[in-house]
Amino acid sequence: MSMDEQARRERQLWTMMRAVEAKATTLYRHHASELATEDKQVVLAALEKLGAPLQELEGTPLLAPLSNLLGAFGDTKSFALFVNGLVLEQLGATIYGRIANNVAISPEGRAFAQHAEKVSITTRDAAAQCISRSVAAADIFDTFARETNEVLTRLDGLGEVIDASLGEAFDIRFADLLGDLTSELLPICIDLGMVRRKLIMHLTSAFMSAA
Amino acid sequence: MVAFNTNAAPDIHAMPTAARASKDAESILLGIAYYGEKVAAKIYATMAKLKPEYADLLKKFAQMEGRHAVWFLELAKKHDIKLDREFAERELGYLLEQVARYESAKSFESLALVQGFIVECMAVATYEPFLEIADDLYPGSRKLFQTVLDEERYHVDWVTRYLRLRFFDAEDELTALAEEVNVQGVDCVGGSMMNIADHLNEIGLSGADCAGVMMDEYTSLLENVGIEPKRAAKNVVSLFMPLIRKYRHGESTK
Repeated sequence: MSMDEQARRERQLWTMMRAVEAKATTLYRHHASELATEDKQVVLAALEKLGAPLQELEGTPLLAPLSNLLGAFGDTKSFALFVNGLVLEQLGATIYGRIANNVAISPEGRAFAQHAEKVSITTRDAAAQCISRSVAAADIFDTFARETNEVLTRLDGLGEVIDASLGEAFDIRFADLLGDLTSELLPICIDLGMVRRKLIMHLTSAFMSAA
Repeated sequence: MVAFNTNAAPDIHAMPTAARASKDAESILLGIAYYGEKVAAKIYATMAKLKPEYADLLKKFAQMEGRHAVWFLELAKKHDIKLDREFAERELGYLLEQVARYESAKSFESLALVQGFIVECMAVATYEPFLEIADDLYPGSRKLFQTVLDEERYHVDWVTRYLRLRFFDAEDELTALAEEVNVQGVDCVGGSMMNIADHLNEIGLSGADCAGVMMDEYTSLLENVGIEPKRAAKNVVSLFMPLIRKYRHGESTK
């Protein structure tokens, strides 16, 4: 792959991350101020330089599934905490972590990814604390299942396109990302009082019924 | 440990019959259960040859699996269900190839992981929820399926104890072995779970829930024998995801 092509694909990667982080930052500002930190603003500002506005993905296979995913975003505190704060921050941390030491990524991108991974983990942990404080223990799993279902059903559709478009360039396989995501989320969700089996059944069911 | 009375075979012919929703689905599901139990019997018999010190027990396991097959065959006959041999052979051929390779390599531990954990997890993940509808579909059969389930769990318990002892203080070796076995084992058996998921839906179960239970059961077993929990979950989920994607696209995994 040529250097130009590699750079173009890296920019596409950052553009996707930018679109998701921008939505998350807005949601946090409106519904979960504890997560709307200065660090998240710094991450978004960096992505605004590394990536491009979403329209730049027009004509690529990435735009439709990414827009489909973003279209499932809710506008409530519960969505902000469970989907963005817990699930997507962990997925972000997983992606940043995997590319932070990948030489196919520019040095600037790698340095950013190292920082962004830490911020995502901190935000995820803050979201878990907020959930623990603000949602009754008996309601946590049902809320998690209700809020995450639609996003999860749309997530692997994006994953397929990421595998095809960016997988080879950056040695990213979406199945591995979801393996990392699940293994990191399970102990956090169990600490929140969720039953592991129900959680895995929910994830499996969402992925198997994906549109 | 549960003790099993091998003479306590349920009287299948005394059970009444019932109208059923989908005979094709039942042919496939009962077919894979029957042929799968026969394969399980073969694998435990192979394991008995490789470890003479456990031969008596493993032969007993093989007999139990063989008996399950006989019960399923009788159940199929009674309810006029023609077992779908072609489907079962397509699913199980890949497993038999893996088993033959481990037999040639005399890898008892690999066989224990494939049969005692992966195959048994699929059995548990389907038999357990089936208990709830067993009497509706095949009146009087719940006890039969409960006995089969209890015996599968008995096998899993023994394999768990064996692997714990065998790899005591050698977790890295076990992790490497499990990850190697999982590549084909999960692809094969997890793939079969995906290929029967829609048929499970047809008879009133949830294929997705069964798949979820299988993933959770297997991950838990790997943890129980000493594999680091996050690593176990990561490995199992990442191997299941391509299978789930194929399922979603309506593609067979075999």
